[in-house]
Amino acid sequence: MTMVSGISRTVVVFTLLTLSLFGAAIWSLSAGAVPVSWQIIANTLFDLDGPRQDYIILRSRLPRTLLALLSGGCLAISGTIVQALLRNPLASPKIIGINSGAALAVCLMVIALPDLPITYLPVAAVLGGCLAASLVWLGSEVGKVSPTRLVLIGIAVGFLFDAGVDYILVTSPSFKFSTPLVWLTGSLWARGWAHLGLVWHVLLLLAVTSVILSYRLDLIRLGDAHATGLGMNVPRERFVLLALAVLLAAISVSVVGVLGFVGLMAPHIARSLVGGSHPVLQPCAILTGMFLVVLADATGRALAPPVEISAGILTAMFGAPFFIFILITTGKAEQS
Amino acid sequence: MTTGGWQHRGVPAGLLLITLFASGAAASLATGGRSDVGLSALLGVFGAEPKSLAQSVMFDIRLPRTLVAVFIGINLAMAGLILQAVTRNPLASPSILGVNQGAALGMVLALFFPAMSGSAVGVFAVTGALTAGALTFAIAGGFQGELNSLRLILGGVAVGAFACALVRFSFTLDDDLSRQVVRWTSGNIADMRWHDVGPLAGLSITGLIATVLLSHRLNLMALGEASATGLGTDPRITLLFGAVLAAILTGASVAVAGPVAFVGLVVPHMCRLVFGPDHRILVPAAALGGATLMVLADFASKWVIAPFETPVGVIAALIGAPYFLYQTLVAKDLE
Amino acid sequence: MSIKLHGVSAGYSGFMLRDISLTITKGSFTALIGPNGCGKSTLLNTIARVLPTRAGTIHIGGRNIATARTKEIARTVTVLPQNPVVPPAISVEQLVHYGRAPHQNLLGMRSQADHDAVENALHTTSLTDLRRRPLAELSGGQRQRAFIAMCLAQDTPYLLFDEPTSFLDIRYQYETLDLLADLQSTGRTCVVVLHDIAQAARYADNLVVMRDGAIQAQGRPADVVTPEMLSQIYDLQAKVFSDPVSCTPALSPVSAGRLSNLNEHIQTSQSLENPDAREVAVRFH
Repeated sequence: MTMVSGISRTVVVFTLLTLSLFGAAIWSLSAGAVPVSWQIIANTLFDLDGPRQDYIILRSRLPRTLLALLSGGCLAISGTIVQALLRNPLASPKIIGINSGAALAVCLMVIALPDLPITYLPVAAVLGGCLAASLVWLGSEVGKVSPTRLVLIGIAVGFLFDAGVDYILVTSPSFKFSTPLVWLTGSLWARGWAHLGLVWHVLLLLAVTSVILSYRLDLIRLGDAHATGLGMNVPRERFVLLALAVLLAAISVSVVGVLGFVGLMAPHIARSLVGGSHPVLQPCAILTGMFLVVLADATGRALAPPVEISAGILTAMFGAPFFIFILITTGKAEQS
Repeated sequence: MTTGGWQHRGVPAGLLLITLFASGAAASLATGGRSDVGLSALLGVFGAEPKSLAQSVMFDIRLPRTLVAVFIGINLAMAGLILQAVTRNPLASPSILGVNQGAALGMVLALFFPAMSGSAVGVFAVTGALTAGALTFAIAGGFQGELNSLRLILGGVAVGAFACALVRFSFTLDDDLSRQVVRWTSGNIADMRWHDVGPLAGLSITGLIATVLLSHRLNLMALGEASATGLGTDPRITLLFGAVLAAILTGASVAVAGPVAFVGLVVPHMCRLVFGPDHRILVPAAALGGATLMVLADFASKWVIAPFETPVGVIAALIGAPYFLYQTLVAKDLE
Repeated sequence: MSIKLHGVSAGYSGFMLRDISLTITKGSFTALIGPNGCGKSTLLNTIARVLPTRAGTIHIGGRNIATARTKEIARTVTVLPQNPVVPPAISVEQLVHYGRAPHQNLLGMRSQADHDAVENALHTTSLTDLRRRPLAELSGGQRQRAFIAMCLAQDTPYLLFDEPTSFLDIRYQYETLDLLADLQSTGRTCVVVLHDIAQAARYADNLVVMRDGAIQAQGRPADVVTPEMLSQIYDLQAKVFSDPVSCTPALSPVSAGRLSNLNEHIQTSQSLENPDAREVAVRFH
């Protein structure tokens, strides 16, 4: 395989991705317990004459689809950053424990402080995610151990927080039980404008910052010595980039729940499409992540209406074999 | 490789372990919903007829529960010990390699077909455990004879995540079932009766004997596959027997009590630290250690009454997860 | 304008460089040599600010590396680490472009000067034909050249290379060193950690010998590479003679036991056939 670089391939990939994303988004608007045809969608969205479905489209599916796009993109960014920082294609926000930390914090909040408004949900998730990430960070003697061991420490921290989540779930009364459960499986069910309004500005700001800084990922990917030689303040930049990754993943997770494997798959697929240069890879990963989450959400609604299958279950069902596939094909995965 | 030091430490440590086990079992038996039922009810519980109320609580509720804890502890410790030996990986254990979650998935499948009952559920759980274990081994390259220890762990995590996703998928299908599944998947032995004890005890004792018979081969595995072959044992046969045995032991425990994580990781580890690397000593020591850890966890689960009694599996996870973290921090040969 | 170390202590917790003072003049080719674990890589990485100093100061081209902006230093000095990480799915050209990072703004926008420098670096390392190939698919030697090209694209007056010849076939080892010698002839300063004493003596005009975290000797190869130094620093009994091609010091160990007889035999026959060897041996002893 010689690397077909050049502008043309990149343009083709981005065009196709954008088109598929569009298709998936429209399908996401139309699929569900009440199927809506694309004409009606167009009428509703663009205020045209003819039959409309204001409630279903504008109140339910549009915010939900937008939230899927947003969280998918942010999880993908987070995954790309984590993979570059750890120099390991197997790394992802979930693998280094961010999701589990956020999950524990959110469960604690929902069960222990049920009166708190949902506004605090992202705050709790960020605190939990940061706690987990800093545990991993401290466990690795501030990034000094090999990327391989860092991944293992992340898995262990994840187990630790999962044990806490289990403890909270089984010791809580059943009426409080269903909210965290839906959230733990990673679902966009009953998510609307309120949730979107809560996080879109922060996420957008973080996402834009990450894309601007994606060029730094190229350098840090070369290893500490090279990155320093090229004029990078490695400890500071690594901290900033990791903070971005944790915030993006934790905030996304606080709203849509534990959507596993998106942060793992998106950068991978993108890398095979446009190569490993982050200024191109990052936008491509964002589109891929968006596509994956919108597709998972829409599929979950379309498979067996009126029952909804959580998007998180679908991403895990595809993501886990995908992870295994990477594990097998990378062979010496610890190419550190 | 029994050096003098281990033997010196082995005897007092063994006595300590036995004492710990006895007091743990006593504490587990003495604790429960009714505070008026104490250890004294145990006296004459087998002979006396008719039984007093305290004696029947002891005989019908507490005794089977504690026994189930004992046998699950033995099973999981044996499974962990075998898996760590055949993979030569200190982090291997039923929950880390996805075997536990595979068994849980098999179990959930069985729950969804109400026609299945009794032993069929156990068969499903064992099948799930075997499938998951085989998958993880295959991913790590175990069937080509070259087991990569990082891939083993990561593969196990992925297989576990996949099985977990399917188990969670079941939550969305039926509300009533979901709570049952969640309580069960967190490892709960609160409702154990004598009919649960019988088959489990049979399997545990058979498994223990089989592991004792295997212990010499497990010692040879530690030398590496080439040396084991050189010494006249086929490491692939050890691997196959060991893996199947570990899956059956895990599957049987999961079918009874749900997945109890980390016992299989922690116990063999600590026993190796105290009793040394010889499996002929390690097997009985780990069996006793597993039983001890489980009766202590059972005692804790009855004792820590939040609004509800905490399932023993959650207690085990709360003990085991920090230990696993500690282990990943200090283990030398992971790179 | 030179590299000046004054009273530098640095290193990992278990291993320390102690009170190192050293001046490397501009335009020189300095080789750091010494047995494994002597601290030569640590010293190079400390000069390259990859490792922090615990005491003392380091000035490169008049700038204190502890206080100057790291990007500014990166326009003065380039670093080739010992085992560079190979990023996945990156072409040779993309890698070489990374070398331009210190000359670019926050967004990494490329100027004409960047393109020229990359072209130049690719040409110098004969990688122009391989520019579109994925880095991961190149042979070890080609990959090493690509990383060197990246350092060249950085276009700095000082080059710090940590064992650039390790893992290379012997032909590529000499190609790499020839390339460094060419760079020196254009006025650049090369500081290179080398394993092979004869190679170091052949290319460098300044040798720095280290042991146990301290500098034991420094000077011209002909003055430094002596049987006494080899026995003191490396615990090796060896004869030193003049390399017949480069006329720089080369060495041949005197083994104990069975081989020593063999050695004596070879030595006498060699001296008889090659009068130069005897003369050089006299000069160096």
